[in-house]
Amino acid sequence: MTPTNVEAIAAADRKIVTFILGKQVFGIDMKALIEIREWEEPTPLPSVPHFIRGVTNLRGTVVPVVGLSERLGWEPSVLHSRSCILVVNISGKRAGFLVDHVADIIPISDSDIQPAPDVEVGEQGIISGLVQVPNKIQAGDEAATESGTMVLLLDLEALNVTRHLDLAA
Amino acid sequence: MSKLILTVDDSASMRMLLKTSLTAQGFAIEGANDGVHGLERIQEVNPDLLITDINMPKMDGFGLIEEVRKLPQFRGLPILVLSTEFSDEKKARAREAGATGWITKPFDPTKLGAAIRRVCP
Amino acid sequence: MSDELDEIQAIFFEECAEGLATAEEGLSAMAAGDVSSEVIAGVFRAVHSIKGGSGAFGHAALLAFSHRFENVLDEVRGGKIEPTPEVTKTMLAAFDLLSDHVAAAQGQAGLPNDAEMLAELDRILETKGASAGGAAPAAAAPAPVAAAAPAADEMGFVPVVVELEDFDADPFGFEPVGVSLEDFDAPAPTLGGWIIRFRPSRAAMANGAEPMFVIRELEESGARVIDVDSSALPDLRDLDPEEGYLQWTLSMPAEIEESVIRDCFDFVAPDSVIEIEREAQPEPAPVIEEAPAPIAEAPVVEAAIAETVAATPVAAPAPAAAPKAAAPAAEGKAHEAAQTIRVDLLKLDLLLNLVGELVIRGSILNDRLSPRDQERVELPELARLTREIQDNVMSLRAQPIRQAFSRVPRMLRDLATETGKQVILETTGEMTEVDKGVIEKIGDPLTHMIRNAVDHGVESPAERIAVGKSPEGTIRLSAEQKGARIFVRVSDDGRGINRERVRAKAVEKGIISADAILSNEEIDQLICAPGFSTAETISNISGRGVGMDVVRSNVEALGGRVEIHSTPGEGTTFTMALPLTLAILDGMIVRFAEQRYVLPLANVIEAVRPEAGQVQPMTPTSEVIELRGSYLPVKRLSEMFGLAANDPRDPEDSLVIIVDSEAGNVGLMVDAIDDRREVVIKSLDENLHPIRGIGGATILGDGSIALILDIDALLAGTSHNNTKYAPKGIAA
Repeated sequence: MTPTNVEAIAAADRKIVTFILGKQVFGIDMKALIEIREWEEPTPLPSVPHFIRGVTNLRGTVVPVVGLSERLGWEPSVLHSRSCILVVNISGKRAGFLVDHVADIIPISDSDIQPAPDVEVGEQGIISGLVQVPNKIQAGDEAATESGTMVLLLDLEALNVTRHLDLAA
Repeated sequence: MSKLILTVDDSASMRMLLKTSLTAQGFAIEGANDGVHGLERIQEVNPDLLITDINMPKMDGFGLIEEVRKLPQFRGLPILVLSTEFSDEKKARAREAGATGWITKPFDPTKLGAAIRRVCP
Repeated sequence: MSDELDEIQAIFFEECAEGLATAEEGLSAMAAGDVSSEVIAGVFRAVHSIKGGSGAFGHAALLAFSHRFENVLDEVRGGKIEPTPEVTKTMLAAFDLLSDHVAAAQGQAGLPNDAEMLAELDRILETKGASAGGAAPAAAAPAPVAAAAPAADEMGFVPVVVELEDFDADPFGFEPVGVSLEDFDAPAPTLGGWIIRFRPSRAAMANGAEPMFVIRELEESGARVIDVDSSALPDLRDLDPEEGYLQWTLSMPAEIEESVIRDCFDFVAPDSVIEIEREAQPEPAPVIEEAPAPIAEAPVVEAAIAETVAATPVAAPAPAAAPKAAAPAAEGKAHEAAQTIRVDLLKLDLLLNLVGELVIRGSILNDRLSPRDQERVELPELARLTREIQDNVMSLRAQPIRQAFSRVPRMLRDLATETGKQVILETTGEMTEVDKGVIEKIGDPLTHMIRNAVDHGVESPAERIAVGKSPEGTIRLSAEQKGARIFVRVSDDGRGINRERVRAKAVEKGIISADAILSNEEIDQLICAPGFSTAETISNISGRGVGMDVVRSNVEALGGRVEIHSTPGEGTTFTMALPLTLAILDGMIVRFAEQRYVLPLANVIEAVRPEAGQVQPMTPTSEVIELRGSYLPVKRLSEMFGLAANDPRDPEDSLVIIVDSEAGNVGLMVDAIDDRREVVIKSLDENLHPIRGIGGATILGDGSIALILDIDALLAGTSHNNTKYAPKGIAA
């Protein structure tokens, strides 16, 4: 473990789970994560927004599976052997997110988080902040620079996937 | 060893209230929800004191006290009546049936504890 | 600790609700003429329990009111007040106020104004003899013994505060025995120490009391035993261990309050000798026996003891005999209550879920075994047991629908007062058992239906007389189970639905077009359309901006439906058809486009394998099936779900399931039927949101998910000739 890491852990306010989606690295709060599952084709649902790929059986509960890439406005993820589902808790409701693969669990401190620059992102608030983490995630990722890798922190709440929206119908 | 009290009351909230306030004062509490159940329970748990309500379905408090007194092992058991009633007629009947004392609801937990220690130190 | 108290208090309020239901039932029975002692005792006990708890939780107003109410009931129970129709009516009104008090204690309403009712209850208490007719007072005379009580408690039991107001001040109700402070002249520093003489009687040992404890407690308060008189002790062989032979004399420091000393004797039998006196001089040293006795007026001795004890045993046997007769009578009723424990509903739901899992795992296991292994006797046995557990868990959640009906009588009384209409309620089937979740959710719809019936259905007495009806309207409330559904009906014998007006109103509101051709039934259904209200004047009863559309959407959210039948001049019947349970569904599992779906069996009429030409296109986007000479529309799930624009299926390779829906009989084209069985319903709402046309999902034997189709909502959504007000499925 490098000295930098030791410091980071000592000053950590929270842990984030980072994962790759397309060419981006995203992070969500570790506390929201319930489990990581292998991809399994969900049961499709009628009359739902396109990003809801269907529902799956999580130990007896019916949980929606969301194509996170589509939800964020990118092309739908291409399925491959490392595709997996991050099952998370969003205000008491559970949902699964299809991601390309899970990268790491990283301690960060709140002071490391920078606000997302005010760019045209369509929906406000989905990216709750940016944080730079040491460069060890994945060589070749566009997110990686000399100084580290940019991780986009997602506000799960703002994704609005488990709430019924008129626009969703 | 803490004294074991059997409380018989058809109201669950009253039983819980008794349990909460008396456990805090170092008593062990068992409960029963009517006279018939009380008569069963008392033989199972063999308490140091019986506290019973009067108005209960199935067997009322008077009946319970009479039945309990018929059991040789409980001839000397202190029995307190805890009731919202307070007529002398009722108290006389309780005494007749074999009650040791009468306490009127609502009760003040500390005073209840003191009253209990009076018959069951 | 306070959380704990809150929790206990919550239980108390549940008990209040139960008590109120019992009391109302009893009072209604009394109003109907059943004034048997067990009915009255039941009402008394219910009110009594409410009073008991209200004191314990500090609800002073509720306590005060229930106390007064209980007093009247006690006299009725004791036969001192006759339960005449007027008295019963007053008690019903008092009951309503009691309900209001309970609501106020729960913080659901403000404190009711009960001054008038309290005065009325007092009047009944006072006039109990007089109103019954001159002769009674003599008979009533013995009763006041109780009322007069507090001063001398000859039984030696703890005397009790009779004035309710004092409950706050002294919640325990202890009060020093019959001593008034005036008896002590000038309590001054010159006061002497106490001399206490105590000679326990035989009775003091009888009821489990132990005089030694009294001595010890006195000693702990500072007393010293200065003499034990054992002169009465007989020879050992004559000694009766339960007889009192000894007399103690104790001294107690002067500064101890008399009440402290008295308290020590709380539970000492009344015929014991208890003397508490002050010594004449402030002598610190105890003086031996001779000295104290003669001292003037100062001593306060329980002089009355001797006489009262003599009197009590005579009086006691009589009351003691009476309750023995009464008690068994009361038992019959109480027996129904059986023994119950309270279980958090969440725990039941968890249990139900787990059993559902068990069922699913069982069938997964079964699927994975070879046919030969599947037939081994243990497996079917396990399946049977699992089913039995499931049935039992389901029945744990079932409750008599009476709970939902219980607030109706009160509501009708209020409505009668508000509208000046007279209404009689007839109830049947209140013991029908329904899932608790259903019961909780039909309360509001039921309220609306009843209000609607009184407000719009039943005519005023004058109007009724004019059309040859009795001035009193009748509302029938019924529940019955038919198959997997519960039918709850509210019927009135009022004027029926004015279809002309409903239609005109619907056109005016833009709900239907002016030239729409509607059957009578369809017009009746319009009153469930959102925003529809036929009230000519907005009354404060039904006209609250919501109405029958709320009923409809609530009921449909439960997987039920509302039917309306009306005959002009004769009345209207609203029927709620509800699922028996919200958790399990009898379903047909069908396959379509690689997915499996569950059709509620209640909707399925038959399955048809179409022959060539039996299914034909009618328009480019619609098909019909010819069935025994008539044509029914055929729908493909793909088109209903909008999954694919062009479904290439050939009808001859498919099955057509004929289903019954609100839109009439319709054929659903599927690939195959897989199975028919009960499925555990999992709500989509739990982790997502409700989806129109989908009643939920279930987990199949292989762990995969099948969606449960809500046929009515699904077909209402695709049907073209349907009226446009059919938003359903999505609701809380």
